[in-house]
Amino acid sequence: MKNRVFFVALALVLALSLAGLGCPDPIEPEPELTVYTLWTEEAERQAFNAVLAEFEDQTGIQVTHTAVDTDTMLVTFPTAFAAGTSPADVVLAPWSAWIVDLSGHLLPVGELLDEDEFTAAHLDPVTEAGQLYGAPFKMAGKPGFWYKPSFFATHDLTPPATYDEFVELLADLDEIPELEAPIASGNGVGWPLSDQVEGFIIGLGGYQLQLDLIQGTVAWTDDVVREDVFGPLVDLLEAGYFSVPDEWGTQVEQLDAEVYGMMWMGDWIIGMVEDSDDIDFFPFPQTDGVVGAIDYAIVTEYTDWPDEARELVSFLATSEAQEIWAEIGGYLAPNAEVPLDIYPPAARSVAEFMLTVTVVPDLDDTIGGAFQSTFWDQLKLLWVNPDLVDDVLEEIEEDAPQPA
Amino acid sequence: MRRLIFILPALILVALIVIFPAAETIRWSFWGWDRLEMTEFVGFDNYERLFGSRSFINMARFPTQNPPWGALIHNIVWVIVFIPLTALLGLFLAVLLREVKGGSIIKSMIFIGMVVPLVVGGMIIRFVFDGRAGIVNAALRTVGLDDLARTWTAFPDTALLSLILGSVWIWTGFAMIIYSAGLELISKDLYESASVDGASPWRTFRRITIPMVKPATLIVVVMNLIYVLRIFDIVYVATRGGPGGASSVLAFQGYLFAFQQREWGMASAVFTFLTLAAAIISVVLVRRVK
Repeated sequence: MKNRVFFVALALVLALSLAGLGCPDPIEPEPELTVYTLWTEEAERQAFNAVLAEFEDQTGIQVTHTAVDTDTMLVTFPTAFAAGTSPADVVLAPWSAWIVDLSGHLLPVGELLDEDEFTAAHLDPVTEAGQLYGAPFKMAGKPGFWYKPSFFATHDLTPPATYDEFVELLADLDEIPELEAPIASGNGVGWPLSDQVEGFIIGLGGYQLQLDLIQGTVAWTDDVVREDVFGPLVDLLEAGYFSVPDEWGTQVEQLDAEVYGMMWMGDWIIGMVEDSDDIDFFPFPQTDGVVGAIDYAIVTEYTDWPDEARELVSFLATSEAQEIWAEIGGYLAPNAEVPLDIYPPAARSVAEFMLTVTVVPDLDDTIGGAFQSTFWDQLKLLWVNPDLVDDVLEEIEEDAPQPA
Repeated sequence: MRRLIFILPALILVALIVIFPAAETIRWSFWGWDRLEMTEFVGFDNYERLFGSRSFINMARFPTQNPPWGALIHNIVWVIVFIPLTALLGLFLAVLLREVKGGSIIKSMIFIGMVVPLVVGGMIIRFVFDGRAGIVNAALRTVGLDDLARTWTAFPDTALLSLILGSVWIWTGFAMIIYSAGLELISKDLYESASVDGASPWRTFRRITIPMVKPATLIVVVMNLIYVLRIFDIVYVATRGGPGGASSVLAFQGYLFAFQQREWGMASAVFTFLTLAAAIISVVLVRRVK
């Protein structure tokens, strides 16, 4: 019996071996790229898919798009890179500090784009040791407070031109009984509050203050920050003009439902509200700057298709690719060759505004590391305990960059 | 020899997915890191930084001021509040529902909390304590305690408490089931004797029920302790350790070090400390169970 089993097994092994010998040479697999992004909202995902479809048509290279949340991306790639692998060939991420930290596991992309089509402010944050590691694909403008013009018209409200008018507007909104608070405060991972505070930093302290804080040449405990920026902000918090922080997507819905009067948010809010014709923004009164946060396309060192991945990044950096999403809306192109008239009206007004002021990088995305998580978490504390402002600023300063 | 062959696959698996990663984590905790690369041996530097960090222990605020008190103290507070509450509530429900008609259906409903994934549990906690739609705040308003009605998870003085109370809801079902099993093992003769001797219900409970369910109590305490030491999901989903670190716990702090700050040496130090603490406490308690 044992012998029979042995010979049957042997015959099977021989048969399989011969079958293998008889097989034709393996077919070279077709290249298929995997791209990871943070665009989990349906409108954003569809818009990016339209860009990818054009790339597929032009090159015949298949691309699979996977949208993940912030934490998944933050956790997945550093651990995968440490293990010498990557779940994606190309990643689109907005954190320049994160990209620089991971640059040892990325392929340079400097040769893939025409640097003259971008500003140095877009390229410098992802340049390490003279090599560019990220191709700017999407710019998220964070221009100011978004509101429903129909709601403002109903209550005879007008966007403010000065800071005093802004405070008056908040007082007027506070008088409307059906509103829970004049300003919706977004929460979640932490960036919605930091975006809003950056608006105050630039609006009350000037865009140079934002750059100084990024460089670490001004401390968070300095008077220019504590008194000029956080002083007025704390006054507004103590007056109850900001809501208690809640998940930011929910807060956008509440803005739509007129539970709140306005909300500080990036231009992608246009694609999230029910009626994109009934949403408009006003910038921080008399501001001289605005945050333009860039989503960069990066190529991982561990891609199986380096040439195809580079081809995709090269395509994404062109005005041709960026015009596709620009036409759809909810998007600003970092490529200077993209004409303004291509944008839908709401996005065009953001793009036009951003041409009138100095565009600066996102503060916490540029610094990254311990600072970012501390900044996000301490602002949540400030929002509910504004009297702790000095403790909050000291905590933030502890993890802030120091002057070189 | 044959026994060894049978357990070898399991041993290999344990070595690969438990012992090797644990040993690597311990090794990493003694090294400096720069951008995903191990740089140099730093001895106990990571541990010194950890124990000196306010995010780990903040004695300047504890106990006179509101949290944050540091992740370690938050874990200890969790142990002190959560374990007695869960055990007492579980025992109370087990005794109460023992003789009630349809008690097993009510027990199943209470046990649902235990079946719910902890991530979902965290979302439910956030919703339950929400200022606008939460049932807790609705109840507070109903009884006239409007001042307490707010989003509990958003404020430093209530964030940790709301997470602990939410966890009690989730884990009470487990304690109740263990105690129910323990109560079944108590001979009815004991209760009859006590009744004949004229013992009051409270005296019967104190002198017969509590001593006889001691083994169940130890199981509840050990399991709850292990749960509390590795608590992460609920904190991650409901508060992300905030605001201002007011509800952070050790496992979440380790996560922050590893993935937000990419300080892998510090993260490894946190998890080494956590593993050692859990191992020592578990061994001591399990020996008592024996």
